[in-house]
Amino acid sequence: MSLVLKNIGLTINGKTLIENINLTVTPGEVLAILGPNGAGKSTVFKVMAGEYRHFSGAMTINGQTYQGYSSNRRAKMIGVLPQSSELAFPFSAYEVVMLGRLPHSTGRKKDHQIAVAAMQQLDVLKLADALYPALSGGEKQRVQLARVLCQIWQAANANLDAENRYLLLDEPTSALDLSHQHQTLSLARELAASGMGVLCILHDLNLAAQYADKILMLSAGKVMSQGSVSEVLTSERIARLYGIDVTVIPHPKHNHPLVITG
Amino acid sequence: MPFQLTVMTEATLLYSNPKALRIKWSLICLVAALIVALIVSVGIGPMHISMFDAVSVVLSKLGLVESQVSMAMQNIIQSIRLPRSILGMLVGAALAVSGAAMQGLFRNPLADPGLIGVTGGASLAAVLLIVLGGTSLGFLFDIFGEYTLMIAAFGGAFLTTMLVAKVATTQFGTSITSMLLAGIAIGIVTGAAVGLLTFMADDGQLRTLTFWSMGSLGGATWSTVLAAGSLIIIPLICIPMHAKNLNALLLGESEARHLGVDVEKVKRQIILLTAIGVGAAVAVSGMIGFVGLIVPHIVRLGLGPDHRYLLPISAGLGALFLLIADMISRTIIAPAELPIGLITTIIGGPFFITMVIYRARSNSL
Repeated sequence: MSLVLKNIGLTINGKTLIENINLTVTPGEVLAILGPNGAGKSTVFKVMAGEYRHFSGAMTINGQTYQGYSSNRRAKMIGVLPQSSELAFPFSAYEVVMLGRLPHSTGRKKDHQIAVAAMQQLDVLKLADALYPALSGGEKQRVQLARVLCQIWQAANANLDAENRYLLLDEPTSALDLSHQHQTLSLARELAASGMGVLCILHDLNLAAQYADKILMLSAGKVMSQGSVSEVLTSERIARLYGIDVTVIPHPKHNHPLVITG
Repeated sequence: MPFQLTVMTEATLLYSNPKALRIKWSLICLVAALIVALIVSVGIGPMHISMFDAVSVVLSKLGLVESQVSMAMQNIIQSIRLPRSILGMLVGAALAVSGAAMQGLFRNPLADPGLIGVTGGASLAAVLLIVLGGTSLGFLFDIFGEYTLMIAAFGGAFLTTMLVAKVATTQFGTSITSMLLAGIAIGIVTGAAVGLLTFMADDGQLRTLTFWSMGSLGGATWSTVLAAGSLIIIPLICIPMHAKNLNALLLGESEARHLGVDVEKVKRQIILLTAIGVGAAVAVSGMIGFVGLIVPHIVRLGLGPDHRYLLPISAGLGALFLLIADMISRTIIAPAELPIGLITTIIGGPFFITMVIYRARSNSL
């Protein structure tokens, strides 16, 4: 039971953006996608998020083909956090978070409880009445993440609703300060530990080293290598991917690699 | 260690949405104001009718009481003033709801049916029919009868909305600048075409055309109320059913899709529904501008952009706005009548300019 891409390719206007992509998002794990700009990270992400319909290859969610689900049911299983979300209308932060309950019909009271819990989790409850357009970039990002969390929240009746859920994050830390970067990725880790499958596009190799279980390296639309963090994060591979020299040493405190440029 | 997301049952203690109470009171006040305005509007005119008499006539028509009011008064109320007021409310509600829905769809508070050329398209189709209806297009009246003008106006509204949406939408989403520019262009073209038709029109048609260009509720009879009402009721009921989808669309089209919204379907339906609303409104009352811009904007200022409240409250406030504008139009230069479209434009023009200045300052146009 996982989110699986098999030989996925996408060609738009005669230009091949990605080809032969094979990857698996496993519940309980965080998969980080690394790669230079233009490698196709966002394209892979958008295919999984349902933005492109005309991809080749097969995508399955929990054993069933992607197309076999209704869009509503898919929305309850896959939450997507886009890179940035602008909103021209003055919704309050609370109202934005409540939008995450759209695919559900659990009633206003339940929705409210889940929204409040999600906002607490993301440390944005104190912003509940603030207008979204007036928030800082980092605050917006956390409010959006609270919204996505609301969307794929495990329902109270676990027997009826026991499907595995997936969280897709496109550079979730790009607008965040150091402490919120770690807070967000720890939350992603905790969500994975609670049984969610998490996929995350990252640029910071050390954040990937610290929080991911597996890493997939994309280069020129193809998978360059994938595997566990220690297998993939080697100085040769990083040099091949980004074209710069790095030194990889064991982290002095934790049990994962540390990447130093130079 | 497994992480458990816990839902507090006492979540309301931690936070409760302050808007809930405001929304309830707005609704109550709006309904009360509508009833009062309706009664007052029935009393206003060359023959003054007191509020008490007006109410008693309406109640007697419903068979509830025996009215002591003279037959002349009863006739004026029944066949002139009441249909006019009700038509005004229908048109106001239709324009306001259509405006609110378009603004949600285009994710821009400046998307007014008038500004983006939809009213112009509807108007051109109707004028085409008025001028050529006696000759080359006469067969249409044989087929559609009383609904001919409305169907033509709806067709014009639908085609222009589609055209604007097509021009403004690229693979990167809807460009607001292209949308407004396309709207202006369509407005100029339809305006020129209407001008051309004006040259071809005879005296009787010219009088009707003036009514088109400035808007009026003067032609209201029960049969126009029934014809327009039977169409306007469709968007009034169906657009609010899309409230949650429109909310999701405000986040962006991709985000709405991630939330399980069938974006293309919603877009198509909203365009169709607003075209029905605007088309029917234009067919019975001509060009009444800015209602769809002002009313939703005021509601958003007070209650925020949530379409679940925005749409129904805009409908009510739009009805109230037009009812009041019509009272002004009937009294300000009595016994003559100022076209209602002039009044809404006099209010709406400066309002629009203020919005543009404000948005330019906050860099969000």
